[in-house]
Amino acid sequence: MPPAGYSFNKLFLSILIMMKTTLYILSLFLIAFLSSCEKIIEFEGKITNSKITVNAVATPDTVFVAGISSELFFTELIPERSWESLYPDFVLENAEATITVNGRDTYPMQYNPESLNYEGTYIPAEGDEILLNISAPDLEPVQSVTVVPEKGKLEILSTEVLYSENYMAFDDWMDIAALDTIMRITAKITDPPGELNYYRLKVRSIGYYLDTSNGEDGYFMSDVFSSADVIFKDERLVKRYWGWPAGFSNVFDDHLFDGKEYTFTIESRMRWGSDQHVTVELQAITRELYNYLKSVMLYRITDQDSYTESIQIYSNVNGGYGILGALNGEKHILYFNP
Amino acid sequence: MVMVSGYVRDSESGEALEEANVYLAGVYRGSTTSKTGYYRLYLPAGDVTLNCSYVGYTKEQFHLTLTRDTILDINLHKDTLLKEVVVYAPRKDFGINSSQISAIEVPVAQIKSVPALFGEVDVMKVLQLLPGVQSTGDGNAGIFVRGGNYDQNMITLDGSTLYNADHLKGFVSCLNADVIQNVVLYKGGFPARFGSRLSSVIDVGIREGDYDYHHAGATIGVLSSKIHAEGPIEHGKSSFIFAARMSYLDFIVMPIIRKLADNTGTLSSFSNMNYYDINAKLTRKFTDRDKISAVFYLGNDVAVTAPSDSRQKFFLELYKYNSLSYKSDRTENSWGNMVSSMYWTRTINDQMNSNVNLSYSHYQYRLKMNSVIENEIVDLDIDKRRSYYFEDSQAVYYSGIADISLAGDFNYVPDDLHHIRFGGKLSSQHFNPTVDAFKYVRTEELELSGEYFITESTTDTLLGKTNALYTMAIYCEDDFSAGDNLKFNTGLRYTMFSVRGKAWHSLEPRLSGRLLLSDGLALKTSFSLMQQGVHLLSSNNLVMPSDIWVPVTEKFAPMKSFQLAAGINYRTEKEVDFSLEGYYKTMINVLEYMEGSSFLTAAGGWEGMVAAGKGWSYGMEFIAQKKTGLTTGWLSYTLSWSWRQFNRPDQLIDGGDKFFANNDCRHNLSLTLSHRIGKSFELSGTFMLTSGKRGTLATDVMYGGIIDEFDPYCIPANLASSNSDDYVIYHPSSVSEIPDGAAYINHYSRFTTFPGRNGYELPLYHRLDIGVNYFIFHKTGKSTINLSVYNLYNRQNISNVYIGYHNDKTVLKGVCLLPVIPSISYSYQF
Repeated sequence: MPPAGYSFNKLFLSILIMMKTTLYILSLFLIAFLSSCEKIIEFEGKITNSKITVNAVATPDTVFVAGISSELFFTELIPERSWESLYPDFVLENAEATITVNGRDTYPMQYNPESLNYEGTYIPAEGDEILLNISAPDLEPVQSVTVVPEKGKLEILSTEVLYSENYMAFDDWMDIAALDTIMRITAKITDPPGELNYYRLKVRSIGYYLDTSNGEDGYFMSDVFSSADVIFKDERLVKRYWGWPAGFSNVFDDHLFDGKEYTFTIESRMRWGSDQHVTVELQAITRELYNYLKSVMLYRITDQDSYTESIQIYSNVNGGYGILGALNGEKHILYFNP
Repeated sequence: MVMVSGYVRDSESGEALEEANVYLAGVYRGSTTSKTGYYRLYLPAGDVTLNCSYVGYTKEQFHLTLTRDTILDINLHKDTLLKEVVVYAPRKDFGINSSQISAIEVPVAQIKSVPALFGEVDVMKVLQLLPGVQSTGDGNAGIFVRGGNYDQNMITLDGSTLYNADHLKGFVSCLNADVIQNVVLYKGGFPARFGSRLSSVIDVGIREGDYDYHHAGATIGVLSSKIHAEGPIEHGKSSFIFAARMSYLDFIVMPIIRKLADNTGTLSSFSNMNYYDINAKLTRKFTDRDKISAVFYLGNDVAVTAPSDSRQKFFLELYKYNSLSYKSDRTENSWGNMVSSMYWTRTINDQMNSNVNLSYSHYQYRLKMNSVIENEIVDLDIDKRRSYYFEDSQAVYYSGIADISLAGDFNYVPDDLHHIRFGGKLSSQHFNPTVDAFKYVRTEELELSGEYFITESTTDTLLGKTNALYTMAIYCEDDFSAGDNLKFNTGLRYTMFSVRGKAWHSLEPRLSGRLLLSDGLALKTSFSLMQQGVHLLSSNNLVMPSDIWVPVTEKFAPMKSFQLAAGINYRTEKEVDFSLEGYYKTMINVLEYMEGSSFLTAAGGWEGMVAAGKGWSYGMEFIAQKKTGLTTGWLSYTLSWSWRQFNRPDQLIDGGDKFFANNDCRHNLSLTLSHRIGKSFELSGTFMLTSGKRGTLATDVMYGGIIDEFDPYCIPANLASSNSDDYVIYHPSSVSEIPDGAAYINHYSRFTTFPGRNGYELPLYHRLDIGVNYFIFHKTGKSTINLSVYNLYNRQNISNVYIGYHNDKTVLKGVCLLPVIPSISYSYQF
């Protein structure tokens, strides 16, 4: 017969074991919950994977130049230098850049420290296929190709010079040297049928100025113009940007008038000075340049925050960033006082 | 020929056995029972031997001399050898005998044996272990099936639609295993009776309560508990089943742990997460042929997460400035489902039965995101603040759906070669997506006068309107045998979606076929056209998860998909099933947010923020399954690709080029095993390995050129010779001339960009879960002690990322929601 205290000891032992087991299990939970669930993510190999950025637009009868810089990963930006970091800090001075035109003619390019660009002797012509190859130490080489498009066909049908009072449309935009006169221009695009075509309408109002106090001369200009035509409508540009109204874009495609003649009207404001005139140029641009310009225009009016879909700056540079584009246009000069 | 017909039932409970096999001995000629357990065969007169078999039951054999039509009711007995061993084999056989491809039934017993999180078995987590199905990641609700988005999955509870099947953002699912009879997943080869979703149908059947005996059970766990009960209301005529669950993480567990932990910041991921749900079903048999059932589900969830805030400070040598920055983010999430339905099942005659279902489903979702940013520059020379920036912003997304539908389905079995189904559905859905966005900004700049120039701005937008969508669908399908080895399911579905001012019509042909090559080997193929009238708009930003449900509109047509699948099924003599299947699927009219879209600035509602495009996915799926015996489980592997492209004019995304969908997941491997040791122990383990989730993250800083155009934020390339104050407006001719009319990039802006949409892939996801069930058998019931460890080796799987500061450096931070989590629970059932 076990002693009287035996069953009490056994019960006490069982309770002790149960308490111990419970304590172990609770401890496991504590360990689980106290484990950090936030970690810094390492990007392996990212430092060596910076990309070459190309900025180049080919246009007939103008020496081809290219801006070549490097891209940085956001963690590599030094906050202390963020106020100073400018484009020159990103420029690659020791890159090798070569253009191959139409698969046969090769043109090397050299760095010009004054312009911060790479320059050569090649002058593009309409229809040229341009292949740009760039390499730089410790960076992956990049390549891009474009074709200089056919000239955009624009016919000026009529012009009117009208009085239109100048007013400060926006608090943050001082339309310097703008006068109370506008030129209303009616023009017609002839769009080639078949493939999608892309355009940029450049309307530059210029007035020449001579400062008699110091003999310095120059010109006032603005590229901002206005139009109610639907081809300039871009609903994604929900904010204005320095004179350009919201919902307006001077970069457009031909899906509304593919293969047809299309007439539209624009208005440009006269600048202070003499020989005031407006240059109107319909630039036919490549699809890649169109996408690039659209992404830049959207990016600059958008707050990059958690509530906004990220915007990708379009690139046609294989292995890198930036743009190799081309444009071709015909310029019309229209004088306010002919 | 003579007709032999009757019902197959469980000898103990009297429950009708659906999909039981009744066939002539020695040949493949036979039939399977319907939902009511009914079968019918046409056999030659004379002596025949009929077999009846059903998984988990002893096969019965009958020797008959047929001279006229005969009624033979069969009562099957549970296999005594397996009685104490749970059988995992499914009731619906989608293997070599069926014409159905790309479908699988997950047995409830198998669901209960898989290691549980918080001790809670999870149907959706088990589905994620199947080939072609992938999780959206820890902390994210939903599944992706064959490259389709989350909104392309139809989840039904006894025929009623459930819009969100997850609790705690995917930790556990709404589907309570205590009340579920079966879960069938269709990923392709959709029969015509299914529609309105492109990628999958998860058909969940709720059990009827026992008509003869009362049962109940309760489970107590560390983080949640549940109860269930069932039994007769009137013996043999009516029954009920009820189950309820709730978690108490927030008001019991967390306060205790907060008192013990020094650094409560580490608990932020778990703060304020709770759920509850209730399931109930009443069934009444009015006659031998008529039965009415009422089903009810109610569930609610709350979750608050706040990754730790971060600060950065640095000293600007050039100006002798101190810069201080602060960032903080917080997310509050709540959602809930309510489903109620009533349906009438009637056996019209020996050849036909019907089911008429009236249901109401309500879903609501609310997500509030709040962000605070503060930057201060202090001039040390004058010991004064030089500039100050404060931003407090929040967005509240609300999505609500009210869905009423009436459906009628008919089964007609004219002979043993054909099984015809036809029916229709009418439904009305009301959508109420609302976004309330608010942003307050305050800036202070120290002026030369010594005073501060203060600006304040407030943006407050409220977008949203109610939309109604009306759907009508009719269908007809025939599952028929064309010879001993060929079987087909052909069907046609017509669907009409109607919104204000516009109706969309479509015909959706369906076909699947099976060719039996030998006893255990079959080839299968299918094609199906599907249409869907609802969309779930989800952001691709890894930092901004937000979902709102919207219907088709006049501007955006219904989504459509076309899917081809082909595969081979093989069953060994030891009943191990192998399946290898390939698929190709195309989709059109899929919607995604356009780049730059934001509810803070959108004026015209969500329609102006999205683009319509196309998608396509393809892949290969393999599974090896063992369904019977002491050791069961499966190994599955999926290799897949999923793409999107948006190239309509004015709706370009990524320049109109193709890009990976955010559900593109290259590899998906899972291994699930359960082993029974005697009567008392059951061990289980699950291993998962998947490619990381995709998303968009802008991390690359570059300078982009602007063509000769005034832009005050741009930097001239040639600083040495340009006057930066007037380089555009007033251009002195003494400065280098910009040739008039030339395209000249001489101004640069700094951009933060990324190589491609959804180009960022989170780190590889893998984890190992283990579980042990210990059964204790009492006189009146059974106890089960479950010990599970979720994520045994504490893999810190990243579910979301955000940019923050660490040691004054800008870094990328990943949030891991589920580290190693052991759990224990006790349950008792009688």
